[in-house]
Amino acid sequence: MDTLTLSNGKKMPCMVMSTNYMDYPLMKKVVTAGLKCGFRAFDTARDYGNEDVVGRVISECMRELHIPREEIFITTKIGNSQQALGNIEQQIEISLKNLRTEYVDLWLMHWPYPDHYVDTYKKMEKVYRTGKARAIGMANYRLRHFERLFGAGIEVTPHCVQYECHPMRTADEILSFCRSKDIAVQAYSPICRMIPEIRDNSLLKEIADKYHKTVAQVILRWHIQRGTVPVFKSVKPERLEENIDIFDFELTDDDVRAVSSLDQDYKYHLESASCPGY
Amino acid sequence: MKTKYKLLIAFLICNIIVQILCAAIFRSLIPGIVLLALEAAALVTCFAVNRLVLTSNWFKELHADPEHEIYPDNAWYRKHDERNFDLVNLGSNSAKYAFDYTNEPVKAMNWSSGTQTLIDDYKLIRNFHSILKENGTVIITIMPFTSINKKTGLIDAFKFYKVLDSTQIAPEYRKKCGILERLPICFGKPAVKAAIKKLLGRDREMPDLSVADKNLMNDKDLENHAAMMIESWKKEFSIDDLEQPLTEQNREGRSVRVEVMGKLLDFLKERGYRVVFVIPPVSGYLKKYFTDQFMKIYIYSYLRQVCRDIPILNYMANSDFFDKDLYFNSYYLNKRGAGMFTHRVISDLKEMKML
Repeated sequence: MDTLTLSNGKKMPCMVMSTNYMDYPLMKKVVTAGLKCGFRAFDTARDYGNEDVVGRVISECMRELHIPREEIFITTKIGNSQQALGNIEQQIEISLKNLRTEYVDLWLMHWPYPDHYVDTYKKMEKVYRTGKARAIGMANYRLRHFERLFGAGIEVTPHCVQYECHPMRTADEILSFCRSKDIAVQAYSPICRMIPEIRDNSLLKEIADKYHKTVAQVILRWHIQRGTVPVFKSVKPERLEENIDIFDFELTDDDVRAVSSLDQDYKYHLESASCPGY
Repeated sequence: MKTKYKLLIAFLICNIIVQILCAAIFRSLIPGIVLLALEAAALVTCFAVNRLVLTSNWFKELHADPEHEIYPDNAWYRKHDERNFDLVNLGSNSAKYAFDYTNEPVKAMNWSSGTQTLIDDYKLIRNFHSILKENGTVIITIMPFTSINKKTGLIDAFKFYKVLDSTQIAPEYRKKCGILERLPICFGKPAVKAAIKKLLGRDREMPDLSVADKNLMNDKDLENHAAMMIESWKKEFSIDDLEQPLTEQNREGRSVRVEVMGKLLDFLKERGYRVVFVIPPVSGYLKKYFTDQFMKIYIYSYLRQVCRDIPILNYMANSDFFDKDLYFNSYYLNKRGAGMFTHRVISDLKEMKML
């Protein structure tokens, strides 16, 4: 799996598998299949309620498939309720215990939780310095959140930001900002859940036919070429194989522009429904 | 202590009390098996009654949005693909019946429900504003007594319990709401009444009076309805005379409302939304009570105190909406009135380049 280098020199795989809301038997099947076909990065969060299952599955799979920890890239996130508690240093310990690891590769703040997120980030910086999180960042930030955070005198520039990003929401402003600060970008809902507007889009179908690929593969490739790391969820092993089979073709600049032209700032997930006051 | 242990202790104490009472009254203890059977029967009855309450219209009507179709909560947005709405409106019953976007070429949602206060408006916006497009428009409906704070309680909190994120529910009611959601029998008398109605087949949905094409009330009914509305407001807010300055209590309430409105407007501004105040029309029967002096005391001075530069669209004195057949009582527009009014608001907003 290709990697990209974060601003602190750490390597991050260019595709990430999400594990949200999967139980043990399903996750074991999916993670095993994912590792076998080459995936090495896994995304979870405290709010998914299964961080411990992720820890169990990954440690079992590493043992069974003889994959060392250094090859695996684990992302987890700190949720709003933990931000409200304020004991951020203790929260990483809980996550590490759940994940059965001594460090997480990337620790993200799940939401810019009003009245807390600046304080949370400053505490996350301290955790970063201990090495328990090899990189830190946030999810679901808008520019106004970054402005406030940077205005508050943070010391560690975030290494990675995760937000909803797909052809119908290219979020160019945030992407430009991140590039200007050397912040890597992870894109969740990278294929916009294949809603009908994506699935049946004639432009995407045309490009897919040109390369003998599926619409989903074209979109994932579009992410790779834009430098955004897709974080996708699939519970079907055959779909995982399809998703990783995107490194044998390259979209032209015109194709990339054409896919980007579908942008309409469409957000499948309503941020404020998950984070009131967003 | 864990709930299950608390329940076990309560169960044991109940048993002891029953046995003591039996010993005192009948001079003998009830055999354990009989007592258990009685308790099991009581429990089953309670669950059966609770089930009836859960499925009753009374219980449904306690919720602001039982079908998850008014507010774009988690249940809504996973069911619907539409996003980037042009417009939402806030407000209470007056707005609920005033806005109907069905025939308008805008993507809009009417976020109003009965007895929805300005504080609820603020919470709803905080929770659901992401459905709006960038620079989307928010209509804040100003009703005759929007400027005066009213005391709210458990029922008001419960109304939005299944709509709002739990953090938006007042902490003192959060737990109680959770219990009532599962065990509405705990509401007591009204819940039991609802269960009996349900059992007797008399549990009917409230008829939607707004669908009628014309006002079914005659002039006298409308006069009476308007007078009744005014009297109930006067009672609710302890007002003697609508043209006299605010009472001390209402001045305090006003300061709360000024603060909440300020927060709401600042929140919307920070996120780049466009905001407009809309004062919906009322029938002539009610309008006569809302004199210029009333408007000055209860509405304009309030909006001035809020001190933000927000355009106001006032349809209260608009003669286009005086016709009683646009209403289904003296206060609320009917379907036809709402269509006509909404069309007018949309075209005014377009003229103001706010849409």
